[in-house]
Amino acid sequence: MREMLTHVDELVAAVRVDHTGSGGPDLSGIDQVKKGMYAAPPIQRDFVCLAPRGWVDLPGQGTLTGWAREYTIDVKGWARSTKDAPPERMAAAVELAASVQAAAQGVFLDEATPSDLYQVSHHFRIAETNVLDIHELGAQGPWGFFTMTLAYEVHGRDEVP
Amino acid sequence: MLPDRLEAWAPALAAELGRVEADVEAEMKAQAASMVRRARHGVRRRTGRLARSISGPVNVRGGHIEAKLYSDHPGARIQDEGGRIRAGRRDMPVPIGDVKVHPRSVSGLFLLRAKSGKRFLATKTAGNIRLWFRLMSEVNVPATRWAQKAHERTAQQVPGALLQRIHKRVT
Repeated sequence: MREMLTHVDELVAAVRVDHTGSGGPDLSGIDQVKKGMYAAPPIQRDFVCLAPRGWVDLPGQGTLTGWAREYTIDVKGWARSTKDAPPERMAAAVELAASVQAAAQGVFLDEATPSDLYQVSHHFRIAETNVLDIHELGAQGPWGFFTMTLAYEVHGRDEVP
Repeated sequence: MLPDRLEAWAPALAAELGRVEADVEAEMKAQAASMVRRARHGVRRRTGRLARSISGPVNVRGGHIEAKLYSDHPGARIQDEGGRIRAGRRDMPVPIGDVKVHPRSVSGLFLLRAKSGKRFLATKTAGNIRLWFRLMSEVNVPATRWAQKAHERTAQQVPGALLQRIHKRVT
């Protein structure tokens, strides 16, 4: 009597809930996921905007546009990146941050260089540790990265005793 | 102008994010249950034993959640994939028509050999012969794909369902 077994694993979804942009280093997990079965991109489009503990991002090219859209903040007038952000925009960003509870902890910049982080920190007298590029968040905070597989395992025989 | 909603939302978000894992697990359990229902609907039923044998265990290991469609019924694989079943020591009684019982539960069965050489298990009541089973050494079982179809359909549903759950949690 021969025991038959079929076991198929299929990774159906990977969910990463964090701030990463599509090109950020935090998407390393995408390699683990079969092409076409990745659930993160649509989720990410909706959730790239998550800001933990009241931290606020300086909206840039797209990382926080979902968030801004959701909360009706007009991002069109904002600088595309920290590098070309005029001081008044910076000030507005910090003011925005300060108006959110716990936001005094810091400010997120998008695609910022080390120099950008330093300048913002000193210009607005925020601790250097509290001025971060948003993409650094991938390794921090209570973010979840979950993978889900669906499998089926059916036994049986091809010979009847 | 900062919307009021954002002010309330920001401090609550961290706590809500902490519940996402439980949400994802709950959704996968719901999807597994749904996969089981689809599978049971897709099997060819006679006694209902195969359908009852189908389960949908969910295992969680760290950040990985596996939902599985499972059956250890002897006919599970062959009905899903189709194929040829061979008899062992004795020929197999293959039910005829809508017969859904095991030969042991039919009293008065006797072996009837037809002129064609085919062999049947039959009963005789008031002069009428009823054929219940045909004895065969090999049987071709057509594939129903009950497991594969349930699996594929569920796989299509999972990403959207997860998205909906997570969206509800964090917004």
